[in-house]
This record gives sequence, C-alpha cells and structure tokens, in this order.
Amino acid sequence: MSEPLIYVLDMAVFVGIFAILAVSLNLEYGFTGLANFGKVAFFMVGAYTSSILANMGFPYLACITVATFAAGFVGFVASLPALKLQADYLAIVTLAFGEILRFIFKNEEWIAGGVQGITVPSAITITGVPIQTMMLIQLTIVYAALAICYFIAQRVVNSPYGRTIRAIREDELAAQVLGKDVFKYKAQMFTLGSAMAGVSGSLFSQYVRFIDPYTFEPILTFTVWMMVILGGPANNLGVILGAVFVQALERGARIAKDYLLLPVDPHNLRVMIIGILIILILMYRPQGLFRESKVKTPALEVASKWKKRS
Amino acid sequence: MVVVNWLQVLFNSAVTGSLYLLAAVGLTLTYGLTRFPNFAHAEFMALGAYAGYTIAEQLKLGFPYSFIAAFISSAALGAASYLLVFRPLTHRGATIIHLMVASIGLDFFVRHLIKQVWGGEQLSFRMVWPYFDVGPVRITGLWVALILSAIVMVGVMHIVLTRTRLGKAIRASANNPDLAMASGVDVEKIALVVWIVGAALAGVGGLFRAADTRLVPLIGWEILLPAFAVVILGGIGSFYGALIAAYVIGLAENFGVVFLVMFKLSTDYKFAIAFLILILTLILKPSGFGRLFGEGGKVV
Amino acid sequence: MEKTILKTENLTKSFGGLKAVDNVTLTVKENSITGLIGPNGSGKTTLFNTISGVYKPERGKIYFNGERIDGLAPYKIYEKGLARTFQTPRLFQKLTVLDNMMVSCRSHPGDKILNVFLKKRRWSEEEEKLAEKALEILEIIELDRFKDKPASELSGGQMKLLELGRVLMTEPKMLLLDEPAAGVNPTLARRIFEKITQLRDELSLTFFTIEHRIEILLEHADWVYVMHNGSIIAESPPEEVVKNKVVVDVYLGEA
Repeated sequence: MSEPLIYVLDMAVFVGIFAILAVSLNLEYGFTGLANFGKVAFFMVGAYTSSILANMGFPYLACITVATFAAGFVGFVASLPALKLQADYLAIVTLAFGEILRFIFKNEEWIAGGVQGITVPSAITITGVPIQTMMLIQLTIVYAALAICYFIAQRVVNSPYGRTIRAIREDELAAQVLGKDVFKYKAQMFTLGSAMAGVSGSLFSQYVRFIDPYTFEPILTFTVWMMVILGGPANNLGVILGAVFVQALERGARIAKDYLLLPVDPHNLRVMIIGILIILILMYRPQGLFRESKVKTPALEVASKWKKRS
Repeated sequence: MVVVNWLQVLFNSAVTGSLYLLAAVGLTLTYGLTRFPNFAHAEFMALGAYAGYTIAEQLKLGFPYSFIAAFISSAALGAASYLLVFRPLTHRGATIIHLMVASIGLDFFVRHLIKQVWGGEQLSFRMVWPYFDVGPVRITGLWVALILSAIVMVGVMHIVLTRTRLGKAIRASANNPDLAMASGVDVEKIALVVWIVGAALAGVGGLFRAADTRLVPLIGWEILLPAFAVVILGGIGSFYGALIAAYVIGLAENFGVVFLVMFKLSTDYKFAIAFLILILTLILKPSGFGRLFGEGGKVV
Repeated sequence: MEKTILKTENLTKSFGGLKAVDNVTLTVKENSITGLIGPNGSGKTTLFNTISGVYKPERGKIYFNGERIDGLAPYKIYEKGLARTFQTPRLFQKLTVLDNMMVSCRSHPGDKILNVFLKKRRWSEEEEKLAEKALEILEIIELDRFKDKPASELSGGQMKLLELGRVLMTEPKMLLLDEPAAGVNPTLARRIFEKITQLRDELSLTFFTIEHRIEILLEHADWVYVMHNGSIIAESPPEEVVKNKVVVDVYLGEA
C-alpha cells in the first residue's frame, strides 16, 4: 500500500462527507427553493455534539444518532422565525445564525475548548491494523450514510410530497391557494436538511479527529452551494457528482501550488477559485451540469399508457 | 460595581452610528435598486481600508490622501462589480438567490485577493491622532473626522436626493425599480452611479474602522452584519431610514456593551445585538423605518 | 339555484388610505355562474384576493357555505372548497403539465412526509387514480397532448386553461376565476366559457368570475355584479346590465 492510495481514500471520504451536505442543501434549495446560507451551522452542531459525546465515552452509533437529532432540532427551531421570511431575508438570517453559533463555540470554552478546539477520540479502535484498513472502514461508514441519505432524499422527491415542494419553489402563493400549508413543508425540509448536515458533521469530526471554530467558516457553506449549482439543482445524482468535482478541484488547487510553485498561498488560491467559479457557473450555466430530475411516481406510467390510448 | 461614563457611551454611539451609516448607505440603495443584498459590500469596506493603509502607512502620505485612495479604490471595485458581475447576471435572468450566491462568490474572491496582496496578519495604523476632553468625554481627532464625514455625506446626499433630477431618480428607482423604469428612468445608469458612490462610502467607512481599531482581511465582513441590521431596520432602499437606523443601532450596541459588562458576559457578543434587532425587525415590521419617509420596505 | 354559497358583508380592504374594496356586500347562489365586471382598478382582483385569503380584510365578514372564512389562511379557505385562479396564470413553470395538475390533488396520502416513507403502496394506488383523473380533465381542456411538457412551454391561452384544469383537480365547490378568457382569441374565449358552463352543469360547481369580455360573460352568466371605485354599484341579471344607466356611464361608456 502506498501513499497515493491513502490520498485517494482521503479524498473519497471527503467527497462522501460533502456529498451528504450537497444532498441536504439540494432538498432545501434545489427542490424547495430555500436559500439556506447557514448550512455550516447545522454541520457544526452535528460535529460538536458528536465530538462532545465521543469524549464522554459514548459509542459511535450513539454519537451520530444524537448529532443527527440535535442538528435536526436546531434546524427546526431556527426555521420557525426564519421560514416566514422571503428568500433574501432568509439568506441574511441563516448566514448570521451560522456566524453567531460559531462565535459562541469560540467564546465559550466550557462547551468544547473555545479557540483551542477539541480532539475527538476514535470511536472504532482496532489495534494492529494498518492505516489504510482504518480508512477503508471510515470510508464504508461514510458511504453507507451517504447511501441512506440519498435513498431518503430520492424517496422524498419522487413522491406527491416532492411534487409539492417543487411547486412551492416555483410559486409559493399559487401553492398556498391550492391548499398547501407552505410553511409546514418548508419547516420539514429545513429540519430534514439540517439533520442530514448533522450526520455529515458527525462523520467529519470522527474522520478529522479534531475540530475548532475555524473549521466552520462560511466558506464551507458556499463550497456546498457550489456543488449544488454546479451539479444541477433538483438532481440528487447531479449534486453528488458536483461534490466529486469540487473536491477534485480543491485538491487540484493544492497540487498545483505544490508542483507549479505558484507564488500564491494555497488557501487563498482555493477560495479565489471557488469564488470566481461560482460567478462563472451562475453566468454561463445556471441550471448546472445535470437537469432537474422528473418527479418519478406511478403517475408517469399512467401518463405513458395514456399516450397509446389517444 | 462598574462605574459607567454614560456621556462617553453616548458619544461612542455617535461614532459607531456614523461608521455604520457610511457602511450601510450603499448597501441599502443597491439592495433597493438591484433587489438583492450584496454580500460583497463587505469587501468594498475592506479594499478601501487596505488602500488607505498603503497610502498612509506605506507611502506615508497622510490621512487626507488615504481618504481619497479609499474612496477611489472602492468606487472602482463597486463599478467593476456591477458592470462585470451583477449587471450581466441580471441580463441573463439570474434569480435573487443566484445574485446573492454570486455576491458571496465575489466577496470570497476579493477578500482572498486582498489577503494575498497585503497578507493575512493584523496591521495597524501608526498615525497618532490628537485628542481632547470635553467634560468627562474623551474625543479623538479621528472620531471627529468620522462624524464630520458622515455629516457631510448626509448633507450632500440630502441635497442630491431632494434637489437634483439624478437624486429624485435614485430615490424613485430604489423604491420601485419597475415603476421608475416605466416612467422613463434609465434604471441601469442610476444603478451604476449608486453602486459607485455606495462602494466609495463603504470604502471610507472601512478606512475609519481600520484606523480606529486594526486592519484584518475580515474587517468588512465584521461590519456587514450591523450594516444589514441598519438596512433592514431602516427599510430596504431608504436613505433616511438608514440614517436613523444607523444611530439607533450605534446606541443599542454601545449601551448593550455596558450591560454585557455588567452581567459579566463577553463584549464580543455585541454583534449579536445587531442580529437581534435585525431578527425582531423582520418579524415585527419588515418594512422598517422606510414607510416613515414613504419609501423603502421593498415592494412584494 | 336558491341556496347562497358565498356571502360577504361590508367587506373593506384599503392600501395606504385608498379603499380598494369598500363596504362590499354580495351573495353568490349555489350552482350559478356569477359575473363581476367593472373598469380597471375598480377593485375586482382585490376583492378576489380578500375572499381567497391572500389579503386579510380590514372590516367585514365572509361566509362560505354558512361558515365564517374571513381571516383564514389561503390554504384553509381552499380546504373548505373555495379555489381560485389568477389574472396572470401562476403555474409551476418548471413542472410538467401533468405535475401541475397533480400538485392540486386534495388530501393526497402521499403529500405527507411520513406517508412518503410508511405508506408507499397506499399513496401509489391513489396516485394512479388521480393521474387518470388528471388526464381526463386535461382531455376535456384539450391539453393532454402536452402532459409531459413543462408548463413554461405553453401558450398564453393554454396556460389559462391549465390553470382552470388545475383548480378543477382540487374538487372545489366553488371557483373564483380572475379573467379566465383574458389574452386568448375570441374563439377560444367562447370555448372557455362553454367549458365553464358545461362544468357547472356536470359537476354542480359554482363560478364567480371576473371578465372583461362582457359580451361573452353575459351569454353565460346567471347574475352580474358591477364594481366601481371599490364598491358594488349595481347587480342584475345579465340581460339588464346593459340597460342599467349607471353601469353604462361608468363602464360600458368607456369602451
């Protein structure tokens, strides 16, 4: 086993963690039209909850479960005032919410070490196995979680419910007069999206084994946004490929720095590239690489038979 | 028991309010005109501060020149942002969410470009300002300059907005772009002017903030939240609303800090005060103060 | 035809001091086609918005089937069986024509988040039935050919029809139609009203409809209200409207 393998495994784990975030943002933005600019907040709640519990000696299954519910709960509570607002207000409020939450973790050392951060004990300890095997185990867990999230998201969007949230995205008022309690749908999607972000945060903290407030800057939210708008909003497979692409790009920026000896700080270069790419995608391919997926329900089949009849 | 110099707190509120006003004027007018909150406004402040730093500290040309440098560099960035990013996006039918995300992308790009050019470490202005005491209140020359700048800006803006055709067109467009367009106003030209002037004022605000405290690449981002609070409390697109809101939030923050100290909480939480005001405004009266002046408060 | 289905009493709604709807009292009889006419800006659409819950009335009461509905949220009013269309069709542009129809299904078991996971079989069966029904309605309004097209690709007239079809999916008792025939050619406009009459008879629906094409409306309506400056200035059977001097002065005289 060689170092390139570790590199590939490492990247694969990150792709998985971010793909979960992308799927969760896709439920909120891609399908329901919610401008959640504070995705990182719920990721953060998941990561901190999971880390604190792991430090208290809880088994990993307990950590990730509680982290999921905690993030979902915070998402639900945050959504109550926020979702009554229009898209632009929602964006400002959620962005500020993430920053304030990060500030609380930074200032309140008793919660999780403040700026010093917190180390996370490994939940799975198998002595005497090589690092690659450990990474494979991590990888399996991450992709199992991704598979579950993907399944849930697909089930939601390919249903009458999924049709309604898309309708709300297209025209909220029209959905209302057609009898949809718009707020309920939005709150449910925001809660589900936040819970998934919690899953992702928990996996992330277990993998990197150390978190501090600087891990959760707004750039993380917008890396996920870029995955969604690049991959194709309202297409779950598309946004997962978006996650692959953005991760590859970020790694590429780092490699370029190492091998091309660019006189640019790699972090600056990475963020500048993300910034420019976001603008370019919105300008030249706002619909993303993949088109919105259809609402796949038995109605499609009924409709295809209808064609033959008439 | 903490002894509080209330007059000083009051004066500090005027300083903070003037800063927020400079920061928020452009934000509220561009929000009204182009109908999306421009998150990259933060970097208009940051660029002005860094350009001013270069002139004042690296070239040693003195504060008046750095003031001009902040004004011009941020104005140029404002023009470039509108002409190269937001106008083309609008022409391509970008949604409000697209525009907001793009403004975040621009924010990241500019901030890290600044970081690349000037470095990420904290810089400070070495310039020494005279100070004097009026009764119990300590006043520095920088604060006087800041408050005077805000007053001059308000005076000029008031005359322009009420006495000139350009100003009337700006107010009309910021309140209801569709109606203004229908009445023959070239909204895009007006928008360009507003983006330039708004960015320039933000640059000046950033410079004052940097000279008063310290200079880091996040300087603009840190003022963005209170600036948004000013915009929302003042009513989107409303200049006069922003004028009142800036000082209201200046007061709330400075008096809030006193209470934070009294209750032994970290004063770092003062920016949560602006957030609280923002949230309460949105829940209780989303049009803010704007309606008082028959403007602002976004047409739904 | 005798039972009252909708009644408003002293309904008032103003914007910045301007009374857009001023003390409006009216009744709509069950199974009727009741028309609402009046010059632009006379408050017709505002009246519809107030009845359907988009705006909250300032003053006055609204009864639907004997029940107070003023102040309720739009979706609550819809649940009671009062549906509406918009002057400019508000379709779900990116959704297909069929999906636009399907969104409107009333109390679909698959429209609840938990049922999506727990009762897939049940909602799938319901979904098939509702799809049949949607296609039948699409056939009536002659849009079944476009079922897989996004709504944004329809023509203006087709959009109007789809919006009508969409509210029919909701199994309403009564429909508020805001200019169902605006912006379509006269032949299609006539056909739309023929469909409305047909639907009224076949499905026992009640229609309350704003229309600028008075000549067509008068052919089909049972009763007509005339609105001017926010108030109802006249009401009568259609054939008498054109003879009413006040109406001719404020409205027909303009045309």
